[in-house]
Amino acid sequence: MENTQPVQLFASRRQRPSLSAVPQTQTLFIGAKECVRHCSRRSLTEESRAALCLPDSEIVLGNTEPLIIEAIQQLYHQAKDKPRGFFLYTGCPMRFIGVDFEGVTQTLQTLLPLQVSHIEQISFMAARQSGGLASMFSKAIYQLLPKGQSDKSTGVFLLNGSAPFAPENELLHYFKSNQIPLLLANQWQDFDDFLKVGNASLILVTDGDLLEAAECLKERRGIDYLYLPLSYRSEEIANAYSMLDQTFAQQTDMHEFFYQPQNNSYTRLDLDLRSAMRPWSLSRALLEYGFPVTSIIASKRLRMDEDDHSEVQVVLEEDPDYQWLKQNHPKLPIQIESQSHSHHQGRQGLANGHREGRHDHHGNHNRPQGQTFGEQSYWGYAALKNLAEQLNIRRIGS
Amino acid sequence: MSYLWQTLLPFATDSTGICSMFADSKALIIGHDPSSSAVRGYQLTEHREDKTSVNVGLQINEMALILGDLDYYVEKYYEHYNQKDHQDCDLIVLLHAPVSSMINLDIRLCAKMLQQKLPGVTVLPMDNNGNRYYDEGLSMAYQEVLKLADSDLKEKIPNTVNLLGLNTLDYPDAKDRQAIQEAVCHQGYKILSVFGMQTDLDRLKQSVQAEKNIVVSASGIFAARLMEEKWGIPYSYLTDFIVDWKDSRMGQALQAVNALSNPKEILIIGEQVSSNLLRLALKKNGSPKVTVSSWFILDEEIKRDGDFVIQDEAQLKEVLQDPRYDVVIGDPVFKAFWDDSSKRSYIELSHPPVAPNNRAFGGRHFREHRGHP
Repeated sequence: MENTQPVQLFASRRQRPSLSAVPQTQTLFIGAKECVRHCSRRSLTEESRAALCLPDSEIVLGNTEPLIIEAIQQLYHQAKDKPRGFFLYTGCPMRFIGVDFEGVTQTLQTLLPLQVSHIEQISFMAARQSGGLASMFSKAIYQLLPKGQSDKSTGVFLLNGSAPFAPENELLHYFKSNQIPLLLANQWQDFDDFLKVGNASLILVTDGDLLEAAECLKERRGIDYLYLPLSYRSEEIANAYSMLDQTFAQQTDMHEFFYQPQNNSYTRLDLDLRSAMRPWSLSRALLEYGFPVTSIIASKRLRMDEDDHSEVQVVLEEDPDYQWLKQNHPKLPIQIESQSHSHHQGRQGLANGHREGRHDHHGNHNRPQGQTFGEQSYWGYAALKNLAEQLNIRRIGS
Repeated sequence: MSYLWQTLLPFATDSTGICSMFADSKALIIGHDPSSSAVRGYQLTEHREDKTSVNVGLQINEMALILGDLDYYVEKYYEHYNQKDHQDCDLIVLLHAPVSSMINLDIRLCAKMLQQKLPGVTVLPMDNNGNRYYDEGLSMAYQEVLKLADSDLKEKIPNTVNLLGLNTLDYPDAKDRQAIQEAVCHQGYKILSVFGMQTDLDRLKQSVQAEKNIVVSASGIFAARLMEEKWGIPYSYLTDFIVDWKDSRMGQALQAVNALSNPKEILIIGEQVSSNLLRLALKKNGSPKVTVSSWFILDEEIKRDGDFVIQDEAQLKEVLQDPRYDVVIGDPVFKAFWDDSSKRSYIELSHPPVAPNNRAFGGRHFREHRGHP
């Protein structure tokens, strides 16, 4: 089979976690008017209840901290339903001027019955290690938890992003079939529900962007985490199941799930991986399975630091796979382009586990029936099955 | 608390005014910031079919901003100019971001250095700071452009006028703008240049030869005074002209008020000159008292007794709930504080700097269910 258009392997539509997922909280954006308006353009003020726009004169005279405290007190006392938590969301000027947010947080938590978390919008090109907005927002959410030691009473916590796991997700299936209680992110009914996260026995992380949040939970509540990334390689998936079995004293029959794609029709394969999770791991896996990957469209780098002149988006975790590609397939053309338009077409997208819609650059999008928005249905071997479906190949394997 | 915005989104800032002025010119507008907030705020405010300018953010990193290496910045500006689609720009406008303004980056020196590298291109620095409003940005842009004019050029072209402040933010309806131009031409004047849109640097440089300036919005007041002082050009306000609004946005607002039965007191919340025009038209129809209030420039010269500046949401709420005013004319977004059960009337007059008219970027503040805090 020859594909004439690049195949866009579309993973779950990645979004940053929403601060408003935590019930009974409010957000105060602190920054210049321009910063507030910019953020609202990106819908970052979806959860923003208020904005504090301080003129330069107040900032340079050192009045920022008292004014923030005054603003929060006003918001708290005016609210009909008193919030239990506040996010202080700040723009670039605050970072530059060195506002004492730790002091502000401590003062507010003394004056009012509130948990306060500071989220710093680092618009500057951050280092490669950063998970970007997803990491920032996730970390901010769990910084709302009071510091202390988890009593490990509420079960395992699955730290995923804003896109919920679909019910048929293999990982959820594992916990359900083994009757292990599981807490899920973004399904909290009230603030007390959210606080239960702080007493989890273990955290599971499947998205590398959320590792910083897991570290935050470990630091604040002493809860260990297990990183089981989405993978496209059978041995990594088997390893993930082994880790789960070891942790929960189970024995999973891998044969029930095992699947490995095989190329039976492609003579060339051009890929558009701008929306895919772990694109370099995916590219390597396909090549190792015998698919003739002939070109890749990859995301333009959104982050850089002074020493890194690379234009291609490669997070640290994927660097070994990216280097493997460069060494073993040095002539493989990699075209760098901005993020796929499909990310900006409103709330439309495909769920994993459904047939891919072909997307061309004119915006034509052949969407199959039954699609849902933003649910990640795959993890484990389902990732490979989904991949096979997206590549329209016949399933081979037992 | 005056700096706190609980319900409304803060209004369009100075960088938006500047971007709007140059939107229909061959300008490359570069915001000196990492995330393009200086230029993205403009995209939230208006969407113009005739936009030909290119707006970009410098996209520098934090360390670069801290180190303040002007040569590095100028190289980055130069790189932007040399990109494929930017090379036919004949004007580069350098905008501050809130951070660069706060740390007092010498953007004027950057502009001079860039000008040396690009002698065939005009480079204009702006002293915006991301906290002032759009009208101050417009005013700043007019004054920067006037610096390009020959200060010794005193010869006047008879019967010509400049329209200072005719812009798409204060007069978003093309019919309003047309009505204004017709009113001026009807008096026998020829419009030499417009400050606020249709920016043509050669024509703007020639503006100092106009016989007279007409201030069409408050953003034009300072430029008018500057031109009077430097080039001896007298100025007056649009209120000296009879404008036939017909069925334009302004006309519809007037018709809506006239359809009401004898309101005793009217409050207009908007830009000062256009609000004064409405006041003039309403008074002709016998409305006894009209007060103008504004979030923006409210100049003493054309302010009437009782006119006032609105400082914050708390004051807006108080004003809107004041039973003195039978009718309030203002942007629909202010209705967040309006008591629908009152028997008073609210006439909507949209004002883009207050609320964006580009629905694609409407955030939570602009949804219909937005209510009181």
